Amino acid sequence: MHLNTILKEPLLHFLLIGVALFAFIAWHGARSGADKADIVVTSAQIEFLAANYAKAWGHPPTQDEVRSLIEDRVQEEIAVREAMAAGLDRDDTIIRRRLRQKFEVMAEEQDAREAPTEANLSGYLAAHADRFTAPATVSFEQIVLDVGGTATDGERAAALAKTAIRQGHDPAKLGRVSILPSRVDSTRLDLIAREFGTAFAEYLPKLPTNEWTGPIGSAFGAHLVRMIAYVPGAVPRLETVRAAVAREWENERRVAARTESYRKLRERYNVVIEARQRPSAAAQ
Amino acid sequence: MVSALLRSVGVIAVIACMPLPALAAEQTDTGTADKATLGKVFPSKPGYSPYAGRTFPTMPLFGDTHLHTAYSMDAGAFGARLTPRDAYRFARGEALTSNTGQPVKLSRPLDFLVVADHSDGMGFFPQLMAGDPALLATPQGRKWYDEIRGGKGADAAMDIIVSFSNGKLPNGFPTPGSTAYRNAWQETIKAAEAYNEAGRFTAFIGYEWTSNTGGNNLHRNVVFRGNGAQAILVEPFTTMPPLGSDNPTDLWKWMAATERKTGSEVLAIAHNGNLSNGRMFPMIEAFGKKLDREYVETRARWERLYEVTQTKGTGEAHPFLSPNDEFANFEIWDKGNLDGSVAKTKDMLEFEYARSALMNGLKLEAELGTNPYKFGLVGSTDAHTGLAAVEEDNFFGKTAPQEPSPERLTKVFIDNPKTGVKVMDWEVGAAGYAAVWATENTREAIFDAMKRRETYATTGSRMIVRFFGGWDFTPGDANHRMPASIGYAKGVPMGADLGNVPSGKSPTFLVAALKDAIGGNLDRIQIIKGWVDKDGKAQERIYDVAVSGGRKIEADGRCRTPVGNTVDVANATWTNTIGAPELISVWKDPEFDARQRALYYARVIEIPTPRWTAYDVARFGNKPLPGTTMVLQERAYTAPIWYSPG
Repeated sequence: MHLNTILKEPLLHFLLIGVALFAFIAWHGARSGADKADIVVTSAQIEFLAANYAKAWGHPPTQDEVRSLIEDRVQEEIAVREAMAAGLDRDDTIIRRRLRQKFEVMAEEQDAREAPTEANLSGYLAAHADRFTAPATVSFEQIVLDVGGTATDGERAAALAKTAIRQGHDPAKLGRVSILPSRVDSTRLDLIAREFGTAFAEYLPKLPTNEWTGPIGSAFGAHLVRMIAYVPGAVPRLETVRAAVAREWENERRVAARTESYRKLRERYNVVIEARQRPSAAAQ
Repeated sequence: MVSALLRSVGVIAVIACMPLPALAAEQTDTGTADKATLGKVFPSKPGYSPYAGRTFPTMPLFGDTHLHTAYSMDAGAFGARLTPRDAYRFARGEALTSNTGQPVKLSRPLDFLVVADHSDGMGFFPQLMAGDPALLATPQGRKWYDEIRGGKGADAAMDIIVSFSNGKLPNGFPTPGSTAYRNAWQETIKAAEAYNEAGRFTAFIGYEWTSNTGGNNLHRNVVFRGNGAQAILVEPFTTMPPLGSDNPTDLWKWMAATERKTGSEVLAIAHNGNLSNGRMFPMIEAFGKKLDREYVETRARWERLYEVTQTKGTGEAHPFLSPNDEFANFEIWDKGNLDGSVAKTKDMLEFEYARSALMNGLKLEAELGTNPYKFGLVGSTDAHTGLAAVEEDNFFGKTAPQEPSPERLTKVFIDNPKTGVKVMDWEVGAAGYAAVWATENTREAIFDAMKRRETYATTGSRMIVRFFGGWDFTPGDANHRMPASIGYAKGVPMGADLGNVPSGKSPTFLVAALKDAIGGNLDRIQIIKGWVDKDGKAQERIYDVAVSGGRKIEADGRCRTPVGNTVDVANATWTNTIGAPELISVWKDPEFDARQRALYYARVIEIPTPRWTAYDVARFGNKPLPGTTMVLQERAYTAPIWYSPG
């Protein structure tokens, strides 16, 4: 971030000009008749007004229309200057938000981006291992039990189905028809959570393997599940996730650039925060 | 049947959401299972693996094929700050800070995303704001830059947009070939390459070609199958002459040339026929040229999908065209074209909506030998925020100013006093997503599934929908343990052709739907048939094929009992005490005539749930305008299955 560049930007001076004008007029207003401020409508601006008019209406403006466009521009200029002088811009949420947006875009765009070193990357991976951990995977079979929601119903159906399986019946023939997969092979647990719901997915790692267990609830009903394999997530080596680590590293730098520019600029300000008037209000 | 036995144990309705404790084996309240009884109801069979060698897609992938970021000229000018990189991160499930500074995260990650920024002026705004020297060397670029920095950003934004609509942009405005343009395209590609991760998340390279002459929306999104090294060999096709063109036939030429040059396949997805004022699906002529064989063949080749639902309205069917369809009046935008410069007239509608286009396509096929409107359906967001956030309870609007705020319920989106066309922000829909039956989560697999039209559109919910057509499905197939395997074995999936009719047979369909794991239950599944009768007239008919709650389907194939409504609008809540978590059925066309062209698609309808407007009121405590829609029934539309007489 180039602090000096930012500070030289006219944009940053925008509000300051408003304040200055206000002060000037407050001082100047008392002395009527002294030198007046200039409003100059340049020939380039007139061309611009005429061109805009032509675009909107499909024909160039007549002499009268040009005069009225110019008068309108003069009025706009007066209105804007007076409004700013009166400080009307300062508490305007929309103006403040747009100024901030423009400023932050500049802050990020002006950050020079360097390629990360090997040490950057391995350090980043070590510090954020959880973000790169390969997700846990599961393999299991499941039956959707054809019951309603009460625990007793689910338990009855599950017990009945388990008995049937133990007696040699094909599990694939039990339960109700569903387009949920009856068997899942080496699938990421987070995808199971999306499909069956979070509660179901969180329960799976706790199940014994190779044993029909249930009922286990999901968004769709009660299930009987035979866990085949659960492979917990592991932190990969840098070689296998280099691109992702580099991407995250760069992104963090970008965010950091903005935070840093705020930090530096803030040093130039004496920030005073008053105590809240009704501190209990938010707690209600 | 075992299901009958188990059904006798339990009853309906409430869904268990928490894991239930496992029971000790064999202890059942119905007594000890008797082997002889069980032997009858559980016919045992020698085990063999039905899973080995299974190659069909087992789960749909959800994504958005149409998302804008700050790189889109209009998005940037109105305050979008998020870039393609941010957009991909967000779609992958990360928490982000929105354009208006609000924390935002999806309930669940998406599986794929196409960042589709407008090709005209791509990257213009970030380049301008960064003080790009090439852009600043032009008088108009300099002026805009000075205006924006001088606090006249709104003037500049309006001027930029008006200049674009009127085709009067300055030299130096980023056009293909300029440095600014190339940089933006490179950045777009780099972002997709960085976030594309086979098996985990697919980041497609793409853009939007925004043909909008006279305010009539003929927009298309272009998607690349290939990688960055291929996409960088070309630059996006624009609409501004002389380099670009607003005529879709020129886009198709560009696509053909691009495939030759890059070796990457491309496809185009049109959207918002509802804002084209009768031009999206022409029947007679397009751009002054009579429709001919070349037009229909070329369109059929490049446009395999249509984006049927998004923030600017849903375009499946219109109540005027389908008076007997009580579900047709859904998120309709029918007041005018995109900028409201020309008001809508009823005669335009037939050439704007997907259902009528699908039917008219059959007529063109009879006339010209190829059906130009043989498309599958997808939904997407068209959000201009970098945020593919269109869940009703998590809707971040179409543009940055429409991100959540107490004011958005009462603001105006389009207002053209000359024509009286006025669209309020509350009419913007929280829709939709594209569901794709791909065999794996890669660019290639998803693209190939899109090309074979094995897709369906949802209005934002993530229900799972299967739809197969064939000649031999029997009611018993609805009881098959693995509907998909029997579906693929005995028929073809959504997006395909039925093929030749065996003598004396009628088409049969296996259709199944599973509710979104965190969404509303299902009201019903319908099959919509479109055909051309013996007089050459297009016809349509709706059949309810599976309904929840034991309601009756009458002899004419319709269930006229509504599913009910549990929505508490004031608190924006509902309960899944009505509807069903899953529906499945086999249906046979009762009025099939083998001499007539026909198409069939499924529509799955959820029970009523709160619309985003209801969540706004519940959270902000503000007051909606009179007439604001507060409740909706989310839905899915599958790609059709077609029949042509051999």
